[in-house]
Amino acid sequence: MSDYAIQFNNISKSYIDGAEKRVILEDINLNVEKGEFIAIVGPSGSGKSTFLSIAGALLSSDDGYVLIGDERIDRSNKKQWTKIRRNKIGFIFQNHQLLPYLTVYDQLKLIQSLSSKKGDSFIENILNNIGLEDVKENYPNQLSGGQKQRVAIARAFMNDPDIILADEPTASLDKNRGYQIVEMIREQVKKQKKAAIMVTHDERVLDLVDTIYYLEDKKLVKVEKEKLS
Amino acid sequence: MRLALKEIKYNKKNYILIEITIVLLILMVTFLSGLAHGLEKVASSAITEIPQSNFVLNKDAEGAIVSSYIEESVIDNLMEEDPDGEPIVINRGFITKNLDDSKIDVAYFATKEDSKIGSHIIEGKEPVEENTVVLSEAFKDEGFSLGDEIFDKNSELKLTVVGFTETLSYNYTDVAYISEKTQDNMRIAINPKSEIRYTAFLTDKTSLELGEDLDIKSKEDVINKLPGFSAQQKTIVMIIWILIVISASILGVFFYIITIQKQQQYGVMKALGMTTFEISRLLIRQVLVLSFIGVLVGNIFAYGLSFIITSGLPYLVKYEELALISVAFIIISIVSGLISILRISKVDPLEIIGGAK
Repeated sequence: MSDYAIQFNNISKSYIDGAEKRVILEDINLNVEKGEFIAIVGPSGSGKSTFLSIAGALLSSDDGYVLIGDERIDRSNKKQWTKIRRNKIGFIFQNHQLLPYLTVYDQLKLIQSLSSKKGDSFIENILNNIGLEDVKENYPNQLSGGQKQRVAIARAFMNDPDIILADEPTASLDKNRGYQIVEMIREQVKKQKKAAIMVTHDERVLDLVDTIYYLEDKKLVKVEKEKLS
Repeated sequence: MRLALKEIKYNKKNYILIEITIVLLILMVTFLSGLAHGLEKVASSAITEIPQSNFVLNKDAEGAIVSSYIEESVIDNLMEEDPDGEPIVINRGFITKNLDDSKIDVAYFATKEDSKIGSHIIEGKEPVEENTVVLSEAFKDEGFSLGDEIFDKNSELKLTVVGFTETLSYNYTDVAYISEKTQDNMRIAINPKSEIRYTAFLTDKTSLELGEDLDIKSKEDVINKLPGFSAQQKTIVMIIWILIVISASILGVFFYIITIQKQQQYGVMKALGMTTFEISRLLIRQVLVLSFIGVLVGNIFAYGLSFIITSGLPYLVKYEELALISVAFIIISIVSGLISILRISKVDPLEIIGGAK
């Protein structure tokens, strides 16, 4: 059993842009431990989304491989990707991306039933933890932006994943709410001992993560936290 | 099933509108089917209800009972061949309540006194006595009732109404049953020198020693050869099936439009690990729910219409045909849902990352 929740080994990715071949990621190596919360920052277009997509079994790398727990993502087996997403990955998207026709409780129940993990008490617990027990019968359009994103966080933990992937989770929120949301992600990551990778360009929340990586010029560079502040 | 129903419940208004459209479409189809069978009935019910299964006609008629006639001597031979068979004279004429009243079309079915045809009498008795008549129930709407004395317009012969059958008609004309003797009285009153001309010989045998001038036809053949019958039925049946295909396709188009609108949702569902199969199953379940309710309500309406529509318009609901239409509709709507599934299969969950382009 590996100590790492997710490992990236020599990941490269390029796109064909017209006649040109554009390299986005080159030979990237990264290991994230259980209970570790990392952030990836960088200018837009630097490949943060591409990196997250490869981590999330939504996109294949050209070279190298990703290990989630002990399972290697097979570059060409999309059925396996779906299974991995279903059972081993918890996504938090930029805009909550909740299904409009399900109540808060049903949003969580759906994910739980897909991966057939844990019981109703887990849902009740997490709803209490993030302060949503009063609105669990509400539909997304009856919630505030912050509440919706909190439901999205809870949803990401519902399948008891190996790794949480957050794509700009604060993008649609104001400063205070954004900070609260990331705080909440941190709390759940620590409490449930999950690894989490957050892509963001919101520097205000970076003091909440354990490690910061800067993605620029195809490479991932670890940033000393002191430098930022 | 839960997810499918929850979405329908959440978007009630949209789905109710779709449902109403489906109900109307199905009602259109079932109503047309009812009219087709109504027309079929007024064209042929008197023939359909004849107990014997085969008709001997003259060869020149080529199966068309309206052009058939058989001479008495030939009938005598046929009676020897099949003593259980019976001859029938079908004549068109007019009846009136009083001689100077406006005349009403009638098709006389004249048979022997011991005929098997009279079994459909629902009121009164068989027309065995001379100059008595049993009328199709539809004549009640014209004001005829039991015991009335009426006139055959052409012969001016007075007839007594002694019974009614259920509504039976022949070639869109309501039928009056009389005895062969009554028929003779009419014929002789019009032209004393004329001779009896039978229309057909009814038999349960499938083959008889017929001679060169005769043909034996099944009841079904005879009905199909009624004037205009088969062309009319084929046309209506074709319209019905085209409408079924069109209606079910409209349901498919509805779902396709909804699917396009929900592409992002489907992308999220896929990103969360739902398979194309699971999402497609969700869609098919919704199609099934909508088409099932539509079929059910449409059928109830079609059935209900048969109580509202009175004798003015021929309308007859056939349950086995409603069942067939319903099953066909549900199957075609599932098939037309397949284009949406094709669309769903092309949704790439990757689009959700990086801010849902």
